[in-house]
Order: sequence, then C-alpha cells, then structure tokens
Amino acid sequence: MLIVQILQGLMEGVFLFLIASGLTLIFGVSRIVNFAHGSFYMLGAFFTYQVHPWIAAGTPGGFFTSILVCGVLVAVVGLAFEFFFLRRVYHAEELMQLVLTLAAVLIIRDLTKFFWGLDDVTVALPDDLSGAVIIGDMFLPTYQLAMVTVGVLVLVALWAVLKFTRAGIVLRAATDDRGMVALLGINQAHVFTAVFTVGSFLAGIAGGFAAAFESVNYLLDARVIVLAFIVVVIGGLGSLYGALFAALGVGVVKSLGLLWAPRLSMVIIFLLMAVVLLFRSLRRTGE
Amino acid sequence: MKKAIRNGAVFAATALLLGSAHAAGVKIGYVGGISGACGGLTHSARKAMEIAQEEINSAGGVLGGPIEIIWRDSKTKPDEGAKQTRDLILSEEVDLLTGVCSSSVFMAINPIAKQYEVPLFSAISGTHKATIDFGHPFVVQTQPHTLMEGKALAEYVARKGWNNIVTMGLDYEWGRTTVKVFTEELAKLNPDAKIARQLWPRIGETNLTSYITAALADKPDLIMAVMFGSGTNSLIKQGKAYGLLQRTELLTFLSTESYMSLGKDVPDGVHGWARGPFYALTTDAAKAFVAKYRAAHDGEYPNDWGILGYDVMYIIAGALEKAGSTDPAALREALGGMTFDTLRGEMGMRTIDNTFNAPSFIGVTKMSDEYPFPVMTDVNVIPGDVTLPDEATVNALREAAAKG
Repeated sequence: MLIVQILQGLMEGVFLFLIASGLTLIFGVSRIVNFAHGSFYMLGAFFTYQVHPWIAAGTPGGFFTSILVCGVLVAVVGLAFEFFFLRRVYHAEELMQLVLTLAAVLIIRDLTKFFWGLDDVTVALPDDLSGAVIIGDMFLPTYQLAMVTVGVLVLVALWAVLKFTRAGIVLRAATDDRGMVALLGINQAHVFTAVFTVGSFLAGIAGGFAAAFESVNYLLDARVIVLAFIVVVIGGLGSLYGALFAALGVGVVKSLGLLWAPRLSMVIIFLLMAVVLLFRSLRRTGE
Repeated sequence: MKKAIRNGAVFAATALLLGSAHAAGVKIGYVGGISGACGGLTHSARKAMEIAQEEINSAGGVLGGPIEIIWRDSKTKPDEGAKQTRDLILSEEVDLLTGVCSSSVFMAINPIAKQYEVPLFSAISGTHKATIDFGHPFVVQTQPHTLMEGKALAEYVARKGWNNIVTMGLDYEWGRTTVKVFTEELAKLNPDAKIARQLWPRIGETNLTSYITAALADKPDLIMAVMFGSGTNSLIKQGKAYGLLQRTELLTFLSTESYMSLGKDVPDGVHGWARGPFYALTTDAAKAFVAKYRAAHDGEYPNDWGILGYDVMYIIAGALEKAGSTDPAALREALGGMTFDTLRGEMGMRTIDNTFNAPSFIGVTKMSDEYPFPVMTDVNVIPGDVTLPDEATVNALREAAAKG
C-alpha cells in the first residue's frame, strides 16, 4: 500500500515537473514571473480537444501527434506574446511585467470561455492507452506511464541541451549573469524569445496530456498556475533540477499525506513551501 | 417599466411610473455562480428560467405584470455572492431572490435575505443548514437538501448490502455535510457497515489518482464520492485505468452535464444520484419542456439545474398569484397550503422548515441508444416525504445551531 502510494506520488510528480519546467526555465533566464503559464497550459488542453478528432482519431499515434501539434501551436502563441508585448517591458519595473502576464491570463480565459463555453470538456483516450500494467495488486495506468515517459524525455532533452550545446551554455550563462552575456555580444532578446517559446511549448504539451487525463474547463489556468508556482518556489526559482525534485517531493508528500492525514495533505505542501522559503531567506541574510 | 420609458413618458412622471410599474409584475434577483466552479452547471438553469419567464409573461405574467429577472454572477464565491445580493436588494429593490450555487454562497447570502426580509428561493445548492440550522421565515428550498440526500443514499447503500465503505467528499460545505449525514444515517440502518477511510479532495483538484489508489487500498465494497462537475468527471475517467469498477462499486453525484461532457468515457455500472435527470422525467410537461429547450438551444439537452430552474420559476409565479402580492408574509402563507405540478412531479412545501418534498433520483449508468451520452437506468425515485427529517430533528438542529 505504501509502495503504491509512493509510486503514484512519483508519477504525479513527473507530470508536475512537466508543468513547472517551462515556468522555471523562463524565470531563470528572463526573471519574468509568467502568470500566463497556466493559461498556455489550458490552451494546450483546449487545442488538443479541438484538434484530436482531425488527426487519426482513436489511435495512439494520432493522439500523440495532436498533442505535439498543439504544443507547437501554443509555442506560436507564446512567441507572439513575447515578441509583441512582453519584449516591450523587459526594462520596465517588475510590476509592469507582472501586470502584462496577468492581462494575458484574463484575455486567454475570456477567449476560452468565448470559444469553448463554460462546460467541462475532455478528450476520450485511445483504447490502447486506457488500460494499465498490472503487477500483483498494483495498477500502473498505461497513460500515466506514457506521461512519465514524456516527462523523462523532456528532462533528458533539457539536460542535454543545457549541458552540450552552445545555446545551452548561453542559457546557463544568462541564468547566472545576464549582464555578462550581454557584454559578450549575445543578443539577449533572442535568448528570451527562444526560452519563452520553449517554455510555452512545454506548457502546451502538458495541457494536451491533461485534456485526456482529466476534465478540463476554463478555470484550469488558475488551478495549474498555483501548483506550478508551489513547485517552482520549493525548487528554487529558476532551477530546473530544483523543480524536478520539488515536483517529485510534492507528488509523494501529497499521496502519502492522503494515507495518514487526508485533510492536511495540501496544508503539508504549503508548510513545506513556507519552510523552504524561510530557510532560504535565513541563509541569504546569513543569520 | 421598459415600455413606459420607450414610449417617452414625461420625465417628471417617470418616478411615479416606476413606482406604479413596480407594483405590477415582479422583480426577481438571480444570484448564482454564472462563472466559477458552478459555471458549467448553472448556464442551463438560466436558459431554462428564461424559457419559463417567457412562457409566464406571454400568458399574462404575475400580479398583473411581467416577471423581470436581474442576473447577477456570484462567481461561485461567498463574498461576491453576498455583495451582489445586497446590491440586488438595496439598489435594484428586487421582490425576491433565487438561484444560488454553491452551498457556501448560499450560506453567505442566507443571513442577508433574513436581515432584509426578502424571500430567497434556493433552486440549486444543497445544504440543509440554510433552511434548518439557520432557517428563517424567508428562505425556501425547492430541491432535496443534504439531509434528504444523505438519507436517500444511506437507504440505497444499506439495501445493496455494502459494508466496507470509503468516502470521498469535496472539502467544503456540501461534501462535508453529505458525508456526515450519510455516515450517521447508514449507522442507523446497517450497524455492520463501517467507514474504512475518509478522503477530502478539494474543489478544482482534478488529478485524483492518489486518492483512487488510497481508496482502493482498503479493498472497499463501495467508494462513495460526494463530488460534482470536473471532480466527478476526473474520478470516473482516471478510475477506469485502475479497474475501479471491477474492484469496487462507485456511487457518486451524477447530474446530467457529467455524462454530456464525458460521453463514452462513462462506463456502464456507475451508481449515481441526481436531482432532475430529464430522461427519467415522464410527465408530458417535462417532455414538452425538453423539446422546447432543445429547439431554442441547438439541440442541447437541459441538465439537472435546468429542470430545477424551470420548476422554481413556476413555484414562484404560482405562490405569488395565490398570495396576491409580493408581501413576504402573504407569500409564505400561500406557499404553505399549495401543491405544484412541477416537471419532477407533484410537490409542496412544509412550513416547519420551508422545504419542498422534492424527490431524489438514484440509478445505474448505461450507454444509451437514444442519446449521444450514457444515462442512468433503473432510476429509483425517492420521494421527499420519505427523506425529509422529522420535526424533532429539525428542532434539535436549530437548538444546537442557536447555542453555536
């Protein structure tokens, strides 16, 4: 029973990482607190809902293709948002950036209401993905295994890019010291745009997966952004690996909490966040 | 009133006209979660209420004038609901209030209706605390509340002989109260039954997998899920891969919008309860209403909240007509002795707690040939007379509430 809950928590954690990775990446490089991340996730979900019947509906191949396509579509939306709006306020005070991403949240929510209404929607899973791998009395749902695989792939891909490519070196440098990167003659604007686009893409595919996993409505953005922020804050703003461990930790704490203190499992997560924040700020002030 | 303005009445006379126009007809304030967690449920209520409004007005209205409805969105938040309610009473000077989703909002606006002595007809939200514990002469409940549903559910579960039970209640007013009442009633009916575990997902939480594994760990005979909307949908959808329905039984709140959005994802064999499933209503009036609703809304079917919304409009209109005025005392007196032919059958209000003997519906899901979504079959209609608490219970709850 314990093992089942821990495994379940880890699976949920990987998915949380998928949601939070884009957010932390964007913050790490551009210091933008992107409230619209949850909205891009929601767009990914609704796009997938819209697109999946057109791409080999009912087959796993068609299903994954439509998620990928929708990830790209969301990336385009993110790119446009960065290019036309966000870019203009990089030098303004942080409050302006916050207000701008918040405006995007409200606009995307209203557009979602306008196009898809208030009702819950969901994408029917292809039959091949709706079963489970059964070990003893442990059920590992195929679809969640698929989500875990994608989460791991994303992690490996991000790691490889950061570690081995020139773009990765620039990114890591930009996370550490933006001024230095600029002095080296690298166009910061391009870096920001690229990272924002990738972050939006990650949000989009995570949303696509959610559309077939749960029931989706126009309130999804708020639910998701809170979770994503918890993970990112616990992991350390801007830290990719921090986000990974935080996501896994949150997943496991939640699922074990359900066994022992069902009413408090979310409280424990918030406490965890508070403790981490407190600890960090103490360390920072050197007390 | 609008007519008077449109005809270009003399400006100085407008105030006079407003006064006299207000005396004819009735002004109803609707407070409900048009957006927020209730948004996916209540849009159908509004559509249905507008149909009823149009029918009543074209048949001559009530009290010699038309029904006017002012729509206000509580955003499914108690504080926003309270604000809108105050504004409806103080600025719009409505004669009475209706709507209300969710139970938390209901609890927030209930004392305001009491304070200003404006009748409040709850058509949607289910808590019994508003009419019983904190009941007052001006609040009316036209659908089964948590005490009634809890009792109906306990009776169903006892009859099925399920003994080992895990509850999964949304962590707010309705979820907590229903689980509590269900547990107490079940203990009376079947002393062998035990609650192995209680889980409390939050509203809006949609990754329920760790709840599912935690619930299944106890090898229960039944998972009793007091959830609605995206919660219920996600539970059913995610439960499938865990073989939930092969390993245990599931009883959950299943109003029509859940099947509509899940479609073929709803497996056969889920036990569900509902408050106004249109396909289980057999009266001619219900059939006529469904046809009319579909014609007006692109073939869409009304959900439970549509049925409840339509009914409350006719209850209000009928009571006002008999009372002869919008005076709250007269209205309550009129309501006491009346029966109404609603879409859900004949119902009336009892005066000890202003509650209608509204039926509960419990059935088992099955894919339908007739509709593009599954429906419940073998629907048990449990009449309100069976589930309404007796007067001693009502008094005991009120005394306890008064003590705080």
